[in-house]
Amino acid sequence: MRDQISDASTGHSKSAEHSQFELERRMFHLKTLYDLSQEIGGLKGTKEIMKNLLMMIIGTFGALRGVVILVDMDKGSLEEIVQRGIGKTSLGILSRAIESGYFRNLEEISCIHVLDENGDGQINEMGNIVDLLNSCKMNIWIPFKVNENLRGGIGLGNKLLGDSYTMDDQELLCTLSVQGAVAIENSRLVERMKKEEIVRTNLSRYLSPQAVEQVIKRDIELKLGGDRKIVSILFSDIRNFTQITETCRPEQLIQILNEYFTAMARIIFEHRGSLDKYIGDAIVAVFGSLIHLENSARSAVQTAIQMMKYMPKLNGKWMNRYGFHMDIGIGINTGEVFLGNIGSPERMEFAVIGDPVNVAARLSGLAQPTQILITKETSGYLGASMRYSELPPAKVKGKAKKLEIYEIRYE
Amino acid sequence: MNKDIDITISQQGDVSIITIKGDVTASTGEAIENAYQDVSSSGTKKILLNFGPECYINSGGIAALIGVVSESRKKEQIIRATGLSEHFQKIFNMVGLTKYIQIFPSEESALAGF
Repeated sequence: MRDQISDASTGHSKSAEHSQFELERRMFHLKTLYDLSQEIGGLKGTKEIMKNLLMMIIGTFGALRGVVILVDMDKGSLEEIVQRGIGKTSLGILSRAIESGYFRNLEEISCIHVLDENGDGQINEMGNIVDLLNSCKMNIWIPFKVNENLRGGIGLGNKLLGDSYTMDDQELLCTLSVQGAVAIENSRLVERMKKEEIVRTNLSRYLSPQAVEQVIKRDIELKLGGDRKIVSILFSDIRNFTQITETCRPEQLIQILNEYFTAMARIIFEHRGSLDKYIGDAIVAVFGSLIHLENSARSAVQTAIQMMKYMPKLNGKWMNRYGFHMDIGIGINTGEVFLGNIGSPERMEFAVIGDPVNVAARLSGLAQPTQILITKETSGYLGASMRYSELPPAKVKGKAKKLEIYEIRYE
Repeated sequence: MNKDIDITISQQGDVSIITIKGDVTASTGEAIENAYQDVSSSGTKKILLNFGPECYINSGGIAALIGVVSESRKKEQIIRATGLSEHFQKIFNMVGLTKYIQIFPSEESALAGF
């Protein structure tokens, strides 16, 4: 009887001990879930998040090794991998399997328990995948989902204690992976917003604010690479600039130039042109590069006419204020150029390069005050509604053949 | 770099002591692994991890310690630990670290007979 009481007492004590252990284990897991948000919430890079996620998971289960893989599902290639305790051979097997698109087959599977040394695991119909995971010393594998799309997986090796992964473990692992996936998605969202802001800032140097939003909405990504395109280049130059600089005080000159550039940029933007750059007192505008135009040559010429027509307003003001006026000459050429962003990702300059740009510059040099000169290439796009007259061909620097020139007639 | 952790290395006879103050987490785990590599490169076979009274250890930190344990087994090193609260001793036990790290109540007792 006494023995029975003793056994019952021991059994009760063991049961209480087990309950206490189980309670502490669950508290540890809950704390891990809380800590994970602290560990990865503020991190910026995908790899850093994956690294800390893996450490939290390995520590939670006391695993000897583990791996977190992100796969580019479109390309079927490895996007990012972080691992702890995985040998080179296993890593090679995994990487090759990913590159060959092996893990695409895992979409329908929520978890794979690989048969471990104790024989406690499960073999399912995905025998070949189990074989693969086994050869990589992975005991459990769950898909790693970002935004409901399968993007890779999380694998864990033996536990230090040597026991198998339970259903509880599987559930906790899935919860941890979801938290990790959300952190990665958030960090990518922030990155995308930052990138968009850089693009917006970059574009705002060349385009009107409305055009910037249009370009961004159309999701035109400004890559470091380039493109070839037929565009029209407008070169505008102040004719009597040297004379102005001699008669103006520096602060007056800055004010005059700022007023001039502001007014001209507004006209260029109104005609959906992009402001390529200012070269001293010259303005270089491009039509048909960042924003598609039905007829870039016509837009460029209309812009030039508006610029010319606006000059009397500015001159009236300057004449009253400073006692002088300013004249400009404009050259427009149309042709195929190279266009793209040149520089480092942090500081990109959108550039238009090619012989047509040089010709436009030369043409601008030939233009008399208030004159708009265009090339034969530009005139070919204008149609009958625009009036222009042919001028004698002119020799320009860098060209063996004389340039055929036309003058735009405007009132 | 790891402002949440302060690690010092000292030598007591043939035992290398790594004293850890602060939070042992995924973010600071690398500092512990580096400290282990430092003492390990000197050829030591006996390492004592001395956790400070305010030490907080989360799962990420445990992963770093598992990394240390895995390496130490390959190098046939013995690792002991001290300074752990009862709570963290239970966690060590739960994840299996106590299979490879012996825990002692004080530095003196850990060094005795090491």
